[in-house]
Amino acid sequence: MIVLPLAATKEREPYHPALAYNVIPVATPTHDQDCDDKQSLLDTIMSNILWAAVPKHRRSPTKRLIRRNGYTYVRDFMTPKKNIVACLECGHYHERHTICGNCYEKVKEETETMREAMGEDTRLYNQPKSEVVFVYENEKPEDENKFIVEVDKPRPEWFSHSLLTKAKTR
Amino acid sequence: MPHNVIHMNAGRLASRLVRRFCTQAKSLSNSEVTKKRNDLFTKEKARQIANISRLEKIQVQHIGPPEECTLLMNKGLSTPFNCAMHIQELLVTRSVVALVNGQPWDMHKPLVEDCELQFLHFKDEDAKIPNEVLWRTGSYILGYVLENAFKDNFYVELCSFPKPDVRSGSFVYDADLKTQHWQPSPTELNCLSAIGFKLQCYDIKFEPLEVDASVALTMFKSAQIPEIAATSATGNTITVYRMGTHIDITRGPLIASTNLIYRYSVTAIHDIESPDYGPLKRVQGIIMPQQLPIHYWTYEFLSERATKLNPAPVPSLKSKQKLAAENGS
Amino acid sequence: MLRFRYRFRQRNLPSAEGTGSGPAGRISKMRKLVTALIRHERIEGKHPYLDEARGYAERLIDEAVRNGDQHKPTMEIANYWLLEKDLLHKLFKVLVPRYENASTSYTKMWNLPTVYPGGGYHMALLELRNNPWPDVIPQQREVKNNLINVLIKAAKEDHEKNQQLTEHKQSEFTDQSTDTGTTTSQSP
Repeated sequence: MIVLPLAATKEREPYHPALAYNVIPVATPTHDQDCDDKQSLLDTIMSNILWAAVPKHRRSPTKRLIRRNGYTYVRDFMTPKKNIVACLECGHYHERHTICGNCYEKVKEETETMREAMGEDTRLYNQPKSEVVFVYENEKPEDENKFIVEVDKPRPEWFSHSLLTKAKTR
Repeated sequence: MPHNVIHMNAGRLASRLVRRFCTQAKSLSNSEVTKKRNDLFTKEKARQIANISRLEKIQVQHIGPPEECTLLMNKGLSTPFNCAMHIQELLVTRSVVALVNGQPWDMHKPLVEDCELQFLHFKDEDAKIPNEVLWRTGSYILGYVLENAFKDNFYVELCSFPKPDVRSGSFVYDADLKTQHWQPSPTELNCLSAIGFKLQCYDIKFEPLEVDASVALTMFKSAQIPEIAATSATGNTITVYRMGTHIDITRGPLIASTNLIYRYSVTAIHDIESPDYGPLKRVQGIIMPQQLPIHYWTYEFLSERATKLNPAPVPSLKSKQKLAAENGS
Repeated sequence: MLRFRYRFRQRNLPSAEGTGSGPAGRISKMRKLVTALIRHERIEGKHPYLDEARGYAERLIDEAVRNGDQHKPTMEIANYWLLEKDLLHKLFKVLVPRYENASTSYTKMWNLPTVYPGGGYHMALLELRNNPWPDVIPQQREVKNNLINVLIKAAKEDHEKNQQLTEHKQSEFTDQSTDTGTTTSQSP
């Protein structure tokens, strides 16, 4: 810490060249006579505490939480969405990167009925050791080697029996 | 006689058969003709609406996504566009043309009886009808471009355009531009394209109006009109379409509005010779809809193909062809 | 090599109830998700968790398909990852035959629509391919009548026709050049 002398008066003794700067006040006995207030290093720092940046006011919880979590809310709920698209099958709207919620609801409902037809025991505790095939009303099981689950309702029109056909017929 | 004089005489003879507004005025201009046609159109439309003395209701059943419903609409006044407004905004913005009892129908053409209504757009699985309708609209807009591009310096006489053929890669308008030796530069073609392209900024409807052949003859003096009217259901009506101030005759439906256009270019102008109309210019173009955003590279690739002469038949009068066939010449 | 794009760096997922925190908690959660996927063949959840689990599930099935159930290290891996032991049979007896000759990834993932109002979670759907449930996207739409496709196909056919014509012309020309001794030349 370099502390420059406040005033160079002619009454003072000339500085020794090696002691041009008053680095350690204690080491230069000549200056002890001049300086009335003995300042330690800590005092010199503390006296210039005006330099330190310090919060002026308490941060309220509102401001604090908004700072920590609010950016997500602004991004997801407060900015307008320009990527909304109408499903070509049903006309309901969804974001471009997602699947249509309305079309998926139908699929989800059907999956639920199929899962219930499987039975809790098979579904949760004893998964079959062969492929599962769902046979609807008025249908005959084609492959006897597979695990057959009978569903007591007619097959929906949009759920085709042959799942592996690539060629589209419309 | 020198060769060029014969050529000019033949052209003058032929131009009498070309569609034009017959007046005593010494110099005709496209803007005057357009204004007169507009006035006639507005008068005729007002007359037709005034003829509807009593509002009758019709039941219109909408089929297809997003909602199947039955609407109660006004006979002779409500259009498929109005029906779409009642159902969902999606149908208003994306619908190109409607299917009324399975037949293509303009979005702004009034419905006349109980019917089944479907709306078509470009992303349908079977987009054949919307594509043809768009191509036909492209030709129609070419007519608008040609009538307005040259301001009053040239009197452009439009002849006709053939049936739309999407696979040919371009749509066509045959017209007499009164400039025999003109090879348009790329800049000039760009200027013509810009006139058509600017339409997408405006929501200009394509309004159809079924008029009697006599009214059509006052709008357009053309030998084709009686022929076209004869093919209609009543035998004497013609459908006339208006887009803003431009009026023209075309058979089939056009798209709903100009805001469905994404890209529009005039790609080439070729010289063709018609047996009945003389030397004409075949103007070709290409159009793309908003619903199918196309990359500029692909568009330019398709535009290049559209510069080749379109193989569509040259305009001719069917009655003359018939006569010629009968006479065995 | 797995046949889909997975993240190189792991997601440091936050602690979840019952699974604990830190790397151990993350693995614990992954095990639960992989077990659930093998059992139910179609699961919904938060996107980051399912995306992480996808990598592990694919790797597990891949190991089983490559090495089979007689390979001891693969058995140990499966035993660790599948918390319910009836699924061990399912993995080697059902899924391995199903995916033996597969040239694609074994799983498929979809983004589900965000629920409003809600927690703002990005939900996703993870499923095994060729599962018995109805397809998430029932039918692929035909695009061959799309305007752009029609124009491009016509342009391509045109181009090929022109190419054939130019080849034919070139071959005619070459035939003529080999023809010697004739004074009358036919113009092509």
